[in-house]
Amino acid sequence: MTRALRAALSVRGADDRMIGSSGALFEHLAEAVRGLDPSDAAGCVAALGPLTIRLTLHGAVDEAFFFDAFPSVLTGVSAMESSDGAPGAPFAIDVVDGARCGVARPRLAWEAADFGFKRVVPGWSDDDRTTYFLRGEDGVAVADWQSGRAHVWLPSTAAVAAHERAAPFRWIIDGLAQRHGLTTLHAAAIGLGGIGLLIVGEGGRGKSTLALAAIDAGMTYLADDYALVDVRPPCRAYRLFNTAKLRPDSSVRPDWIADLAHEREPVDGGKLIFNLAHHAPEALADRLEIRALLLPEFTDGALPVLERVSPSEAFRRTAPSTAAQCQGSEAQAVADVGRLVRTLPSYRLHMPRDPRRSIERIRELLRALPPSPEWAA
Amino acid sequence: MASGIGAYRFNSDTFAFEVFDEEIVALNVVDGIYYAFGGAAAAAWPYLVAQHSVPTVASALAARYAVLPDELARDLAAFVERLVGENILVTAPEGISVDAPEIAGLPPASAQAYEGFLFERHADMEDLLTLDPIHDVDPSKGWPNT
Repeated sequence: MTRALRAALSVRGADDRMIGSSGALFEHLAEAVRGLDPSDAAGCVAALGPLTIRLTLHGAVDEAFFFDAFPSVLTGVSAMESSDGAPGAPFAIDVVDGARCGVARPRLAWEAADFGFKRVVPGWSDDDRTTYFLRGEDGVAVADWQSGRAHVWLPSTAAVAAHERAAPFRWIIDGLAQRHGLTTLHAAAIGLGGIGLLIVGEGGRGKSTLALAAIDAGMTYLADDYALVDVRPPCRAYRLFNTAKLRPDSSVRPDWIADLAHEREPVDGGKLIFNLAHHAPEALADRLEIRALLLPEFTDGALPVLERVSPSEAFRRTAPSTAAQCQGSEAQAVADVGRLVRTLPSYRLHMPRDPRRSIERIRELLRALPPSPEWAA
Repeated sequence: MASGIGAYRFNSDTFAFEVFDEEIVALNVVDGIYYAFGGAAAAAWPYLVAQHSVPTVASALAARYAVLPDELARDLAAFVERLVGENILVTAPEGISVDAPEIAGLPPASAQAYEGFLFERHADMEDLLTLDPIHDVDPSKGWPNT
C-alpha cells in the first residue's frame, strides 16, 4: 500500500480525545509513531560536540535537506535502531509529517494564557517536559527530558521554512544543551589551528560575512549564527550545523561564493543558504577552543582596527540576541554569557567593507591570544 | 533581612541581570530590550533587588555620596519609578523575608562624587523579533487561532 493511499484510508488519532497535559501529549504522539510503517521513515545520528541526537523523520518530504544540515555520523537503517535508555544513548527526535503519515493534529486543552511569546509553551512545560507550539509550521512538539526523547508533529514537512531546515530543531537543542551544562549562543565562530573566537552581535553586523571570508583565508569555520558553547574553562565551541547564510544583496561577498551555485533559491528572509559540508568540507571545524569574543562593526575606514572592550560592553552585544532567540532557560543563557565575557577578552573590530583585511587582522589576533590564565595552570 | 514597606522585588520571570564593575545590565529575556544602570544606580541595585525599602536604601546611599540627602532620595525615587514602569521591579509582598546584604552603617572616609542615577534603555533588538501573542484558542479544535 502506498503512503498516499494509506493516508487517504486511515487518519490515525482522528478521534475526539482532548489531551490535557504535556505527558498525555507525549504518550499520544508516541503511540502514533509506534503505529507508523518503519519503511516510511528515514533517520540520521548527529554528533553535536558532547551531544548526540538521533533524528527520525516519518513520511518527510526532502529529508536529505534536514539531515545534511547536521554534522552527521550515521544515516540509514542503523541510525534508526533504538538505543533508548542505554547509557549515552542519543537524544531521539521523532518527526511526523501529519499529512503524509495520516496522523491527525492532536486536540489540546490548552488556553491562551498557557502560551508565551516563543515556541515554548510555558503553561505546558516544567523541568521534566517542554511543550512547543510551532507557529511557523502550525505544529506541536513535546520533549521529555527524562526519557531522552522528543516527538514533533507537523502538518507537513514541506511547509518547513528553509531557514528552519538549515538549523533543524534548534529549539529542542537549546533545551537539551542546557541540561548538559552547555548553551546555544547567537554567534559565529572561526578558528586557526584549533584556537578560535566567537563573533557576536545582532543580525547585520557582519557575523556571516566574516565567517565565510575566513574560509577564503584558509581558516576554519564552525558557525555563522549559532554555536554550541561550553563556557566552563577551557571554553569550547562545537559545530551545530553545516549551513551558512548570506544575504544575496550583501555588499560584501567572499570570493569563493561569487560563482557558487547555492542550494536553494531564494531563501526566506532573503538569505541564501549554503551547505558547507558540500562546498568547503575541509574548512569545517567540529570544535574550537575559544579565546576571545569579537564584536564587528562596519566602518568606512580603509583599515581594520581592533579595540579592547569591557565585559559589560561584550555582554550588551551578546546577551540580548542570545536570550531573545533562546528556546530554553533565558536566565541560564544570560548567566552563561555573563561568565563568558568575564572569562575571555573581547574586542570591537572596526571592519572595512572588504572583509579580507579584517581576516588578516583576526589571524594576527588569534596567534597572539594566550590561553586564559584561569585555566593555563 | 528585608526592610519591609516600600520594597520591591526583581521581576525574574521576564528579566535577568548581570553585575559588572561599575554597571548593571538588566535584560528583558523575551524581547531583548536591555538596560544599563550606572553611578548611584549601580550602588543602589543590590539593595533594591534584595528588597530593602526605598527609604532605607536612600539613607544608606546618602552617606556615601557628596550630595544632599533630599536630592538623592528624589533621584532614587525617580529611578525606582522608572524600574517599576519598565516592569523590572514589581511590588514585593509585605512581610516577605529574604537574605539581604547588609547596608554599610558607616560612611566612607571621603564621600564619592555624585553622578546621579544613570539609566539607559536600548531597544536594538525590538525590530528583529516577532512577538505576536496567542490571543485565543479554539476549544472545538484544541488549537490556537493564529
